[in-house]
Amino acid sequence: MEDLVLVLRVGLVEGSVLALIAFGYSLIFATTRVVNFAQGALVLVGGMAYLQFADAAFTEVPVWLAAILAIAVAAAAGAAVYAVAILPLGRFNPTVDIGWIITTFAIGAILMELVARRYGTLSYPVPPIIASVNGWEGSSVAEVPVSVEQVTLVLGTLGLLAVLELFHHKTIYGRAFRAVAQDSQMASMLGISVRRMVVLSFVLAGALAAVAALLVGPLINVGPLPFQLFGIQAFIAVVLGGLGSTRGAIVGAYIVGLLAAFLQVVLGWTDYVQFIVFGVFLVVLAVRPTGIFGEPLVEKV
Amino acid sequence: MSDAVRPGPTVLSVRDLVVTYGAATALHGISFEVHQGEVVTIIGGNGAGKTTTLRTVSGVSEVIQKSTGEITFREQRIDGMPAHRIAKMGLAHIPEGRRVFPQLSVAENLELGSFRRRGDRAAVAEDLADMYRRFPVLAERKEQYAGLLSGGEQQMLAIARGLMAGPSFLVMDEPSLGLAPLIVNQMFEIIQQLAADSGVTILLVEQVATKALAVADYAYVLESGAITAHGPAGELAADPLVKKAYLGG
Ligand SMILES: Nc1ncnc2c1ncn2[C@@H]1O[C@H](COP(=O)(O)OP(=O)(O)OP(=O)(O)O)[C@@H](O)[C@H]1O
Ligand SMILES: [Mg+2]
Repeated sequence: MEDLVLVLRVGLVEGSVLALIAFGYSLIFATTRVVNFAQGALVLVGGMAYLQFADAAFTEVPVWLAAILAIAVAAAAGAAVYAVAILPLGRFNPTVDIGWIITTFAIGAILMELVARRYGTLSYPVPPIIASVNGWEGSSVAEVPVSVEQVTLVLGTLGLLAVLELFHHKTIYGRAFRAVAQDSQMASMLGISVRRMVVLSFVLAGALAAVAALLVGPLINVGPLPFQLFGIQAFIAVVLGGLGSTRGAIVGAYIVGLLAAFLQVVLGWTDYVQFIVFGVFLVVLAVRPTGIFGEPLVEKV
Repeated sequence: MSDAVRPGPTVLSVRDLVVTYGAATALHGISFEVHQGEVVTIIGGNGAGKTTTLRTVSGVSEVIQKSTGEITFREQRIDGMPAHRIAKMGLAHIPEGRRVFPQLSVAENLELGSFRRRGDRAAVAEDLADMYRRFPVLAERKEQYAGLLSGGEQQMLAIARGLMAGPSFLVMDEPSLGLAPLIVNQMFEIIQQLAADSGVTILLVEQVATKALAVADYAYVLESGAITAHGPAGELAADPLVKKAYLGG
């Protein structure tokens, strides 16, 4: 029982962080057929921006304002990734002209270098957005401590993703977004600005990366080291779930999170977790190249 | 061909349009006009350049990058203008090959057809009801993925989606392709109604040249990327050369 609760807690916490990041990968892939390898760097930028605004050593503003500013900074960084890594490539076919692999990696490396120049490579504690709810700061569930930060992270993520999914499927703008993902040329002939949708996907991906960073920051600190695996793990999650499917990204993220938690908690493996997760990823890909939930294209000719 | 007086002001004017795909030139400097309220058809064999012409007019980026020439729509130069801005000016394009969004429902496809006038809820709702009345099969399949419709049903959806834009200028590229004869007749009726009752200007490319010439006011013959004849549709339909080449004798 204790193990189960612990697996759930660890898994849902990690899964939530990955889900926010994976959702961003998925949005960008949907509009551009490009995998944004700067995604991990956007998480770091969001975390450091939150530190910058929330910590007394830098510019201290109220936590909620720091959170908004951090999200704005990371959203702008997302737009910058588009402007530097994608826009200069002009019109290109992403499956053939794979220069975007280098450009997105490069801008990610540059962003990380800029962070290192300013903040060094140390990790910093950051305050939680919600420290307590009516005096409640956490409890024990079956002798496993559950903190308000962890609950905020999981519920905040699920709530935000639910809103985004609703937007994606129930509004005309969400539908326009999906139309661009399926046939951007046809979408443009209906009056939809494809470029606007592409920029929006980068901006949203940046904003979500910041949300992930500022929700997980209070639990593990912010810095290059605690954040170093998020980019690649979320990438694994999104490919596992099915590239381009936002629901797949979410499910893939929680699978990776819960699997890693199971390995750590039940089997006591700490060192090889990443290898195992990567191994499972390769096996699933070998069996189902579209990912678990990547629907086959229902195109009839 | 007689130089008949054409009604109304010029809505679309294309001058010296050249499109080159790599080494091959698809259009060798063609010029044509469409006047307010007209149905104009372009007839020509496979590979003549009809689709290329329509796509350039609509601003499909892949094609306009390969094109030169002057295109004027409603007194505004639109060559080089991105497709979504041309669409917002009231030009709707029903493309060759259906191009429905396979993983959106039928209803969602239709809704996106009205994207350019999404604020105009009353008119959109009215037109949507009208489309479901004209194409009952679409109403039955409302919630289904468009990709699961039959080819003919997808073609109906593509036509209905184009009409949902509430266009003042409609570009149609072989809209009858894959439709049963009854539906083809219905579609030509729609074209005539749109032109006569709603004053929509139509630029039409059709496989069934006989039918196209019957509904059209004016026609151009396009051969290997050049316009070889033009005139009132009735006169062209009676022209022995046109008859021989495009009307099966
Ligand atoms: N994207 C492209 N790249 C290279 N060549 C092209 C492209 N699109 C069309 N072409 C060529 O340009 C010429 C004109 O093609 P287009 O599609 O405009 O003809 P069409 O008159 O519409 O023919 P059809 O009646 O068969 O639809 C053809 O020779 C075609 O092979
Ligand atoms: Mg064609």
